[in-house]
Amino acid sequence: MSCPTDELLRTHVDAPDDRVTAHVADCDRCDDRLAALRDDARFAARAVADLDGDSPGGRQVDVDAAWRAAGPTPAPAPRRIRLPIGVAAGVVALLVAGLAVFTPTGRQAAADFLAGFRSERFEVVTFDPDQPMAGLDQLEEIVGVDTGGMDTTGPEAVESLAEAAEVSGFEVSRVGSLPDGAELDGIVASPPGTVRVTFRGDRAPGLPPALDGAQLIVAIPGAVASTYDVRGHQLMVGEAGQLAVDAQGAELGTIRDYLLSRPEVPEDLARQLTEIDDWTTTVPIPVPVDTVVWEDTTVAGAPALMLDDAAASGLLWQADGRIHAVGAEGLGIDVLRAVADDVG
Amino acid sequence: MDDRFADVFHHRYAELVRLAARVTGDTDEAEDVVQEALTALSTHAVLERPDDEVAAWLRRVTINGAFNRLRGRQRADARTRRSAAAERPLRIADPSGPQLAQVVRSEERARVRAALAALPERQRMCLLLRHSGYRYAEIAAAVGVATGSVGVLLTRGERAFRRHYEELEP
Repeated sequence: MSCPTDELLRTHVDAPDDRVTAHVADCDRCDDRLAALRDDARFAARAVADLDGDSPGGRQVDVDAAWRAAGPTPAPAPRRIRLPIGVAAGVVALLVAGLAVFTPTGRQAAADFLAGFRSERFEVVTFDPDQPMAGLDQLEEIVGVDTGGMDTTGPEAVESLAEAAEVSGFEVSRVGSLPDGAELDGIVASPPGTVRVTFRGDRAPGLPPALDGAQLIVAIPGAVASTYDVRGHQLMVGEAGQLAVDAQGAELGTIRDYLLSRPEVPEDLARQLTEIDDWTTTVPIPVPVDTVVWEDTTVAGAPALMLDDAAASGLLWQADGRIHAVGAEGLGIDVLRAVADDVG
Repeated sequence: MDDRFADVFHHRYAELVRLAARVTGDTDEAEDVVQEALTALSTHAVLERPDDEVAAWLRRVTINGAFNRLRGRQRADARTRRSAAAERPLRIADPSGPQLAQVVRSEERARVRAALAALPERQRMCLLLRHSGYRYAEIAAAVGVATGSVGVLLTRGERAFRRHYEELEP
């Protein structure tokens, strides 16, 4: 036989192959390669076996006790990342996330319409999934919400990317490369819309008079998501326009300060939002602490956020005025990166 | 469905805890990871699939969950070290004899875990499963690759693991 590949030699270490044995007996080069592979394998084997030393003998695991702890009805799954999908959720998220809106100094107040927030990058804010966050929902009660007739039932299934473009209002980026075996499952799209959130003194006792009647105008972007089946794993490639928030009738800084001071916003969350350096362009992404791991990274040179929990991982980035997301269950971040690097 | 879940739980729990504990170094934390994986399984469609597919899914989710915990802890440790270094002069403990050996072994295991965590996901999963006694077909199913690719991933993973480990030498 000709010189075996590294793969074949490595497999030979675990399951000896007579052809490989015969070959390396006559080939010094492959004999050396095999010795090096065997050496690396032994090194790794010893290192991994030694990891048990942290619990010598291994504490006996009580499966029955674990089952009782889990309960006959399994505990609810940990809360996943909440991304604004419906308008109500979007408004609440923006009341918190979009608090990031701020008024640049020196703006012409006379214009009474102040450009505020344009999404450009992402930053994680953590929350404790064990602490009740229901208070945030109550923020909706201190404002009036006008969805402008926007469809709030969520994205609709479409037949093609051309149809998705019609619904979302933008031409959908092509995905240059997909993992082997990827088959399109479906495409969904949602149209852009505008939501007006009006602060009303009759609903919010203690509302500063300057804010009575003030509005946040939230431009919810159109969005498209394609899902693929990759050998039994689900892959999602999504894209949305830019998120924008403007204000009318008040300084955005005043609105932000007021919302952050509301008792409905947990203190820790308010602190994290306050600490975001560039809040006029940063979308805070709420992430349950200890459940999801994240890292700042780049995709094709653009700042990106990598999110990873036990079952799934995702990449979120913005480029050319679009928000992009790639997520998958069980495919690994390397596969996602390959997909993400070729979106455009 | 409840019977099916109970069966999987009892059949897989101890195996998964052993696997996770190699990554986390702490059996209690490993049990938390496995409980989360099994909780996720309880509402997942894969629960209706054949046993080997369920086992592969659980191993993958457990290993990823365990490495997530490890990375979170490494991040927190780094923060603590930075904070401690800024707040007070460094104090060097003076362990000796068996205590010193214990400290050294513990640091070596931390290096092994850091070197594993630095590997690409599929390589570290292959390496951990192989040296925990799993067969190539089981590894391939958990990682989501063809059985023939396990050898390649192991070759690259073991080589890179050794390099990372040596780079981390104090």
